[in-house]
Amino acid sequence: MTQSARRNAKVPSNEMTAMLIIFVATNAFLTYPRYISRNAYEAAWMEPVLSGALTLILFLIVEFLLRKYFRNLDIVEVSKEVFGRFGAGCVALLFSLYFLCSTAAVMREFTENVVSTVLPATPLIFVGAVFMFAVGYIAYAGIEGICRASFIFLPLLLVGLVAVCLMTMNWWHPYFLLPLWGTGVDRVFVGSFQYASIFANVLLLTIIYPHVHDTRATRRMGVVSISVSTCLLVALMLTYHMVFPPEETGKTTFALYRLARIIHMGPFFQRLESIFVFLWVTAATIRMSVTLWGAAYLLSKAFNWSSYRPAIPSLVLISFSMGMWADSWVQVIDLDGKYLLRWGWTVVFALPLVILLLGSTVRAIRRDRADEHDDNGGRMRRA
Amino acid sequence: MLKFCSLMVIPVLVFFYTMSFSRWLAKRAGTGAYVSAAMLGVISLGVSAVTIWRLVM
Repeated sequence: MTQSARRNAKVPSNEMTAMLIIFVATNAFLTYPRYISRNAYEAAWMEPVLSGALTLILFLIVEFLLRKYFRNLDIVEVSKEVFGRFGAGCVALLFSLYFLCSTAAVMREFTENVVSTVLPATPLIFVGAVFMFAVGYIAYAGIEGICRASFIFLPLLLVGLVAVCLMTMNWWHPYFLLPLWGTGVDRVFVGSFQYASIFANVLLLTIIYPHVHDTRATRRMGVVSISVSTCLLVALMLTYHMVFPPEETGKTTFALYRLARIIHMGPFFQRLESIFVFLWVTAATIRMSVTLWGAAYLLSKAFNWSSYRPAIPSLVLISFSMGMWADSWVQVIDLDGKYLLRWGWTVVFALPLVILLLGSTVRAIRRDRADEHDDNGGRMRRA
Repeated sequence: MLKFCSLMVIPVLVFFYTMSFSRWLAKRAGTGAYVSAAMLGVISLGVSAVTIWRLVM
C-alpha cells in the first residue's frame, strides 16, 4: 500500500487547514448565497459571521473532548465505546449517507453549472462522469493526497476569489447594504443557525483527528480555517450584495458566476468567467473528494475492512447515480436547500457532539470506578 | 438498449471488483466485513442500472 493511502497516515496541520478552508469556501459557488440572501436580504453577509462563530465554539469544545478523552480516536471508535459495534455501524452509515448525498448534490450542481455556462453542447452525463472520475481518483489517493492537493491549490483559489471581489469594484453600490439588519435580527439569527451546516469542520475534525500530525496544533488549525473561510464568505457576500439589489440576490443560483460575468474593466479585462469556472470546479473536486473519502473511511472503520480504497469505485457510482436521479436542476437545488442545508446541522454538529459527550461521560465513570477499585484494593492490602 | 448495455459496462466491472474485494475480506476480516462489502457492490450496481435506465430509455 502506498504511503498516501495508509489508514494511519499523518498529515501536517497546514495542509489540513488548507483542506478545511477549501471545503467551507466552496459553498460560496453553490446555492448557499441564494438561501442566505433569500432569508436575510441586505444582512446576508452577517449569517456566515454568526455561523462561523458558532462553529468555532463547537470546534473548540469538540477538540477539548477529543484531546482529553479520545486521543488518536475517530468518531466511529468513540461510537463503538458508547453504542457497541452495531450502534457504531449505524452511526457510520448515517454519516456516510450524509457525505454521499452531499457529494451527489455538489456534483449535479457543478455539472449543471459547467454545462449551462462553458460546455453547452456536451451531454450532462458525460461531464458528470468525468467529474466523478477525477473525484474518485483524488479520494483513492487518501487524506494525504487530498490535503496536499488542497495546500497547492489554495493560493490559486484565494487569488481567484479576491479577484472576483475586486474586479467588480466599478459596479459596487454600498447603499444596497442598507438597512443594516435586512429582514430583521431574529431572521438573521435563525438563518445563521439553520444554514450553519456548511461549516462541516466539527464533523470533519472527529474523522480526521487521528490523522493530524501534531495534535497540539489542532486548535490553531480550527481557528485559522474557520476564520479564513468566514472572511472569504463575508467578502463574497458583501460584494454580491453591493452589486445586485436584495430582491435579485435570492433568485440567482450561482452567485459568483453572475458576479464574474459582469467584470468589465476596459477592453482587455471582461468576460473572465470561464477562467473562474475552472478554478471553482477544481475546488469542488477537492470538496467532493473529501466527502467521498470520508464515506469510504467511515464504512471501512465500522465494518472492519482492511482498506477503504476498494470501496471508492462503488461509492463513486452510488453518488453519481444519486446526483443524476433528480429530473431537473431545480429539483436538486430544492432538495439541497430543504434537507442538506437546513437540517445538515443535526449531522454536522449535534450528532458528533452528543456522541463525544456520551463517550466522555462513559470514560469518566469508568475512570472513577477504577479509582474506587484501586482505593479498596489498597485499603485491603494495608488491613 | 445498446446504449444502456454499453453504459452499464463500467458499473458491471466495478461490481466484479467490489465482489472480489468482499471475497478477499471473507478470508481476512470475517463475515461482517464480507457481507457489508458485498452489499455495497450490489447496491452500487442496482442504483447505477436504475439511474442509467431512467437517463437513456
